[in-house]
Formats: sequence, C-alpha cells, structure tokens
Amino acid sequence: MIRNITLGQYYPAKSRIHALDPRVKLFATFIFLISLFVNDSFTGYIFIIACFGMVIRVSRVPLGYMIRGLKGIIFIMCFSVIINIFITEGQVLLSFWIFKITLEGLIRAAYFAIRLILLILGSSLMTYTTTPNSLTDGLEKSLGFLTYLRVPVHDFATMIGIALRFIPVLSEEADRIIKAQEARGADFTQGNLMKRVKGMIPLIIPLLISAFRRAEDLALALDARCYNKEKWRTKLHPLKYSRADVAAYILLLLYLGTVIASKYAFEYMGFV
Amino acid sequence: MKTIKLVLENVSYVYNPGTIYETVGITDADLSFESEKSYAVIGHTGSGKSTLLQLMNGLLSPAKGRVLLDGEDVHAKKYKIKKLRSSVGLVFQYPEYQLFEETVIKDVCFGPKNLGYTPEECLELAKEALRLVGIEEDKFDQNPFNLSGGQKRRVAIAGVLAMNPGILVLDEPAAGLDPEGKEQILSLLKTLRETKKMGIVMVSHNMDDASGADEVIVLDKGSIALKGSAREVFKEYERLAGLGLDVPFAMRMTRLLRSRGIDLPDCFDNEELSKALLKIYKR
Ligand SMILES: Nc1ncnc2c1ncn2[C@@H]1O[C@H](COP(=O)(O)OP(=O)(O)OP(=O)(O)O)[C@@H](O)[C@H]1O
Ligand SMILES: [Mg+2]
Repeated sequence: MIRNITLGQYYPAKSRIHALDPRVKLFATFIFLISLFVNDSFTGYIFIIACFGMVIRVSRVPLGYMIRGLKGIIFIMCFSVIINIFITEGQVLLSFWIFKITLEGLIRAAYFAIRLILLILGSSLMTYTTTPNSLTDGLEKSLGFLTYLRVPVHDFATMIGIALRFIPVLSEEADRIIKAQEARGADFTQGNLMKRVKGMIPLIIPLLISAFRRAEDLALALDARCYNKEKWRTKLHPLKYSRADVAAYILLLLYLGTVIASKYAFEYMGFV
Repeated sequence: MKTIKLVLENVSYVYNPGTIYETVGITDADLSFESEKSYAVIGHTGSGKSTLLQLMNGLLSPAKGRVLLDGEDVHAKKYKIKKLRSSVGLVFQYPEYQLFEETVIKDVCFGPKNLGYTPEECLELAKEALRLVGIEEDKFDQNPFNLSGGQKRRVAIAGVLAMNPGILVLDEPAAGLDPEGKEQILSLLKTLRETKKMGIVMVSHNMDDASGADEVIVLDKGSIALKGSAREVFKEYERLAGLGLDVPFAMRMTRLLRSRGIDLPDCFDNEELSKALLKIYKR
C-alpha cells in the first residue's frame, strides 16, 4: 500500500558511499545503467552483480531493506517477464493452446528480470545514500552546462528535491487518512476493482487537499524568505571533490571499461 | 445505545520492528474502559497516547497481548472488525482533514453506510449526530469545506457519532480551536456522557480538562506511569513534573499560595479553591 514507501528514500547511515560527493553518485548511477545495457552475457552479469554487491556492502544499507523497496514494482516486473516468455520465437519447450514457451524466451525473460531489478536497485541505492538536498545540489551542478542551452536546470533540480522530500510527508499523511477512514468503517481492501477504485475517493480527496495546502504553505515560506533563483545564489555547503571522489571516478571508469571490453572479447572468442 | 466494556490485556506495540527506525509505541498496557465513564489520557509528546487509542480501535494490532471487547478477542481470525469499529468510535487529531464528501450530511452518512445501514437509517443517524454536535439543519446540504474550523471539527466528530459507538475515543479534540470552539466540544462530550451514557476517552494536553475525567491514565515512554482517579493522580505533583506534566490550575495555585504562607487545605478544582479563599477572606 501507500504506507511505508521505502523506494527513493534516504537511509541514514555512516558509510564511504554516503560520504561521496553527490555528483559522483549520479555519475555512478549513469555508468551503472550503461553497463547494464551494454552487457548481454551471463559472465558479465556475474561481474556486475559482484561489483554492485560490494558497493551495497560498503554502503551499509541492509540488503533486506533494499529488496523490500522492490515490492511496489513486482507487478510490472512479472507482467513484462511473462510477456517476454511468450512472445519470443525459438526452440519450443512446452506448448499449450495458443501459447508456447521457448528456451530463448526463458533466457530473455531471465535477463530482462535481472536487468530490471539491478536497474531499480542501482538507482535506489543512490537515493538511499544521498539526502534530497545534496541530490538536488549534485543534479544542479552536474547538469549545469545545460543552463547555456536555456534549460531551467535549477528549477528542475529544486522540483526533484522537493518531490523526494515530500514523499514521506505525503505517505505519512495518507497513512493517517486511511486510518481515519478505516475508523469510520471504510475498507480499502475488499470488493471488485470498480468498487475499490470508488472506495479510494475518501482517501484521495483529503490527500489532494492536504497536498495543495502544503504546496501553498511551502510557496509562502519560500517567498517569505525571499527565495529566488538569481545567478548570485550561493551555497551554504558548496560541493567540493575529495580524494575519495577522484578514486571513485577512476574505479567507475575501470568498471565500465571492463564491462565493455569483456563484451567484445567474448564476442571475438565466439561465445556470448 | 450499547453498553460495552473494552479491555486491553498486557498490550504492547512497536513501530517498524527490526529496522533502524524501531520505536516503542506502547509497552505492557493493562487497561479497561467502560460505557458511561470518562477517561483522560495524558503524557508528554511521544509518550504513546495516539498509539494507545489506535490499539483500542483495532487500527493497530498489538505485537503482544490481547484487546477484548465484551470478552471477545478482536484480533481473533473469525472476529468481524467492523463490530469493534462500530462499538469504539475513534476521532483522530484534526479530524476535519478526513472530510471528503460534497455535503455535510453525506459525509456524516459515510460511517453508518460502511456499517451496512440502509440509506434511510443512515440519514436518520446522521441527522441525529449533527443535531447532537450542534450543527443547524440549514448547513446539512452545504459543502463541508466552506464551514469554519470549529464547525468542520464538529461535523467530523458527528461522522463518528453517527456510528453510535458505546465508547467514544478522541485524540486531542480541542487542539487548535479558539476558546469558544473548545468549550463547545467539551460540553458536547459532557452531554454525550450524561444523556447518551457514552464512555468518553480523551487525550488532552490541558490538565484542567483532564481533571474532569473519572479516571486519568498517565503515559511515559509507552508505559503506564500512573493510573487512578483524577484526585489520586494529580496528588503526585513531583512525579508528574518529572514526566514533563503539570497539574490543574487550582492545585498549582494552592501550592503557590501555600509557599507564600497562606494556610490552605488541598484544593482540587477552581470551585474548591475559591471557597477556601473566600473562607480566609471572611475571617
Ligand atoms: N507511524 C509511525 N511510525 C513510526 N513511529 C511512530 C509512528 N507513529 C508514532 N511513532 C512513534 O511512536 C512513539 C509514540 O507516538 P505517539 O504518536 O503515540 O505519541 P503521542 O503521545 O500521541 O504524542 P503527541 O502528544 O505528540 O501526539 C513516538 O516515539 C513516535 O515517534
Ligand atoms: Mg498524538
């Protein structure tokens, strides 16, 4: 349910990953995504998972906690895996009625699932280890060059920061409203789809009202503190790279190099 | 009106067990609540008052212990939770934020409708509840969002009253209201108790409001620190001060006057204090 959303939330801990510059972590996420799309071999996945596992270890975010965050997307994942199993042509293993399951389909579905899980775990590791504030700073700085193309980078970064910051606030609010309506005998878990959708109205309307109220309060508070986005805005804690950040950049490039090189090496040697 | 008895047997609750966010909600609460009686729950912020109320209404299931309504375990597999919801009405803090319907009357009907009453019965119950909280007939078809804060609060309380509970549980019902709005809520609770024989359980930060209850329950870090009649509990001045709590105005005043050398008997409320002072004055 909407309660207890852990995906995309900060997980407070003291670790080397938490201490890294947000730009490094953004870059790392980007590199990780590329490596997932470049790689198409089983051995490659083992290498990627091993590296990723080490990073999780260092980050001190419990694996169980991360996996729990995946719950929300189980449905989408199962759906796409099943589609993949059935639509892929190839050596037929099993067939019934109009469906047939192929070996290639199974393999593709498995790869697909692994890719999707790693994709989501990878990007959530970034948000688990980076506070919304520093994430916003990092985004703004890393994408700063786009300002020259008249892209309102600062606005986007601030919007993302605020959105992330408000997920727990609104999920707490939703929890409260759900409970208040349950106390009035509402049941959000029963009935057919139509009934359930209609049953959400007592939750959604108060939640929307409260979101608007909060947005208005926030806007007023920003205004009252003379917030604007003029060029001369400075930071309280300007981002500065440390040695660990440089080391992280080097490791990341090595990692990406290995993944790409192994792909071509395997292709050259003839087994994929 | 149903006369009911709700018993919490050795109930404990922990938020987010097994994670870094683990927090104690309630520890080993042994309490009993009945219709026709009034209870005040007091405690420092974060002491578990709201958690306790949610346990009473089955919104949270205890990690340990049992919640019994008229002897039946409400978390037993076969138990119909709606029975508990209709017997123990829970009004959350700032209940006006739960309003969602287009008209006042429709919103108040929501509770009874969920309990399976027919539309006519719902309307009857809703009208009765709105009358009780003092909302006039001409407001029934208005949009609840256009009412004043105090009126919204009373409509929200009516939404729970319409389910005809035997015990009404309220989390800081007077928070954020002006003195008049507050007075209206408190006198409503008194009426409910006297004419409807409803049990009232109220969380309050105001010791003068709490002192009107038959029984006062003091929470500290999730445990029950003190429990008893208001007179017994508020005698423990030092203990309460240690928990970050106060005593009613008259008791505070009595202590102050005594420390300035005025010879006063123990005074519990403003009435007693003024009588004692009058006696000294006349002497
Ligand atoms: N949904 C929740 N998730 C995690 N922890 C919670 C949650 N609700 C309450 N807590 C924690 O449980 C403890 C008791 O909270 P509770 O809300 O019952 O206190 P309270 O006495 O009602 O406080 P207040 O006077 O501020 O309303 C607190 O430490 C609080 O941080
Ligand atoms: Mg509370």
